[in-house]
Amino acid sequence: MDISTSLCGIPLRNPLILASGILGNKGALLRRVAESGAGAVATKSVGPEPREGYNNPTVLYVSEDIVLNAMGLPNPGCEQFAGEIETAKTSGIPVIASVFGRSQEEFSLVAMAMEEAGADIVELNVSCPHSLPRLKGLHLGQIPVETKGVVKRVKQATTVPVLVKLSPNVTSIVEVARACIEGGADGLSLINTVQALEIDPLTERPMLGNMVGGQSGPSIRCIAQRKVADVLTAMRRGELEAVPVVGAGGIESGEDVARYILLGCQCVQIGSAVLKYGLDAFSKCLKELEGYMKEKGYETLEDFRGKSLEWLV
Amino acid sequence: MDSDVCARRKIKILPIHDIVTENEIVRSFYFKDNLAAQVEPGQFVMVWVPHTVPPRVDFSLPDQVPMSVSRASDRLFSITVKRCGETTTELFKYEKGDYVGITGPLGKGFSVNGRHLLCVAGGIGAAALFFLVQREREKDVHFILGARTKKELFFERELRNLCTSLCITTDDGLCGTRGFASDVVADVCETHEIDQVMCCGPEIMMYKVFSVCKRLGIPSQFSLERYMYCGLGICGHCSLNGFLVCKDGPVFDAQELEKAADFGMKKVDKTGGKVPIQ
Ligand SMILES: Cc1cc2nc3c(=O)[nH]c(=O)nc-3n(C[C@H](O)[C@H](O)[C@H](O)COP(=O)(O)OP(=O)(O)OC[C@H]3O[C@@H](n4cnc5c(N)ncnc54)[C@H](O)[C@@H]3O)c2cc1C
Ligand SMILES: Cc1cc2nc3c(=O)[nH]c(=O)nc-3n(C[C@H](O)[C@H](O)[C@H](O)COP(=O)(O)O)c2cc1C
Ligand code: FES
Repeated sequence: MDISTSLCGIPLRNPLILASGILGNKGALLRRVAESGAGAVATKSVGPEPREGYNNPTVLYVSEDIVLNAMGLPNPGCEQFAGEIETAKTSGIPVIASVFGRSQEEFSLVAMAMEEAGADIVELNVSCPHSLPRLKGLHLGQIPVETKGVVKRVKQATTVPVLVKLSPNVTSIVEVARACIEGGADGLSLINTVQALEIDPLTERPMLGNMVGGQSGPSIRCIAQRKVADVLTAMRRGELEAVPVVGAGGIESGEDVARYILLGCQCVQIGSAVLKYGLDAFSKCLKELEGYMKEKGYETLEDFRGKSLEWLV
Repeated sequence: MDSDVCARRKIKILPIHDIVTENEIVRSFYFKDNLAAQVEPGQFVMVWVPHTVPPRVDFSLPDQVPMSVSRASDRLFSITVKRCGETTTELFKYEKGDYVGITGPLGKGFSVNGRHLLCVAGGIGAAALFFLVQREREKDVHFILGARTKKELFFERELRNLCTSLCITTDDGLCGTRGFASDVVADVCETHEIDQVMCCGPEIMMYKVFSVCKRLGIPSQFSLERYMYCGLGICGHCSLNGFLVCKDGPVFDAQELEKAADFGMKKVDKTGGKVPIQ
């Protein structure tokens, strides 16, 4: 059986990628994730300058299936982070640098620094606040024209493949995907967290330090699958140029991985499952994925990629 | 998934059962919960100090911080808190019955192998080791309690009752031996044929104890602190050269720390950048 694959021309030993923001702020931790079996790793989102996170609680384990976070993008800035990419690279697996900024300039500056540090792929986290006052409260990724501008600018400044990480908190994810592809995106990853809020009835207040945040974990898997399907059906129908799609949201078993591949995803990202299973999340999903393929008689991921999409186009 | 493991990661809102003043800047807060029956010495809880008056969009409010468990019996446990910054100052305003959010027990605690134990505590580090001493009553336990001044000492009376010997050090020498807790470790180890050392305190002090134990060939364990966001092993912020302090620690064996080049040298600030330990 062969579960290797590739992403934008870069070979991966398997389709499991560590999602951005999970253990990704240090190269030494990314190496550990690589040793635990991941096919590639994404870093914590990195910006142009050192930035502190929000006050705690920043991560809430609401239930087994619901994780809320409002980290506030803590990161030491791209200059200091370059060393972490170098350390992560010694693991031998592809390293995806997640990048954010408040403007086109900042995005391209950080992306260039990450490429220089050795990142194999850049992923643009457009779920970050926009700097223009008139767009206050909106995330950059919620404005297709702004997103397109950022992608275009980053593409001009870099040579490595550029993925855009899409937010589900939009009216039409297909429209945002279109803007990214028109801007030159080499691939899309989706979804980022779903806007969420938790209230504690005893203290009668929101529980996150930032009051509001984003939801992840198994509770968002079906939402994510729908978003992924919306984008992939548009591609299959020819309404959208086809680029590789990386699925993310609530994956914690081999069957979950299979579900995203059946929808047509090239690879998947695993985040919140690390909370529940620690680093064993990767070996667990791999073993289960192989079990699934064996049972179905599949030799490669290609044998079943996109099979479920047929029902939707 | 084990429902017990799941429950440990959730914030439980608990009323403060009791408050005991240990000294001018240290108080113990007691809570009633079956977490008390699960926790091991060296493990910690995340303590959310909810600040129940709505802010006018001031997000720089008291938050959630890690605290070692300092005592635990059937259904009652305590944390022992030193007042330092915003969160702990806010907690000191709380009274019996006020709500606090507790998550845990978290992390990996001490594991005792020896018969003749030495605990070395600096400052608030005495909290975690106090719990260990209560659990290891049948062993021969010696204790070095270091504090900056006499006024900052706490648990002195309790430790005198529980331990075979208690050695107090203060920076100014106005109480006990003058100097740091680490200064007397070698002496105590030799006098009492210590076969395992447990240490919790400022990292510079712990690094010195680590070096002494290495020289003497005595196995040792250390409870470390790093800035924690999630406390749950997912954000990666508490990293120490590839270890997660909130999950693989906070207690580490000397052999593990041997591999951690940043131990005693560098920690991670709120941004994730490395800064020197003073
Ligand atoms: C595993 C562990 C066990 C601890 N046990 C105890 C204990 O039993 N008793 C006790 O009094 N203190 C303990 N501490 C330290 C305690 O967490 C800090 O004193 C507390 O966070 C101070 O918060 P503050 O807002 O009052 O002070 P601040 O002025 O905000 O901070 C003072 C110091 O505490 C550190 N700190 C602040 N927030 C955090 C955080 N989220 N995670 C880690 N460090 C933080 C800061 O880096 C700084 O060095 C422990 C820390 C760790 C990591
Ligand atoms: C604690 C935490 C931090 C995250 N930080 C980031 C981040 O910095 N950048 C980003 O693009 N996504 C971030 N995410 C989103 C994840 O990468 C992922 O898209 C999302 O959690 C859905 O996948 P999951 O259900 O497997 O966790 C974060 C998620 C969590 C839980
Ligand atoms: S504090 Fe988040 S992983 Fe340890």
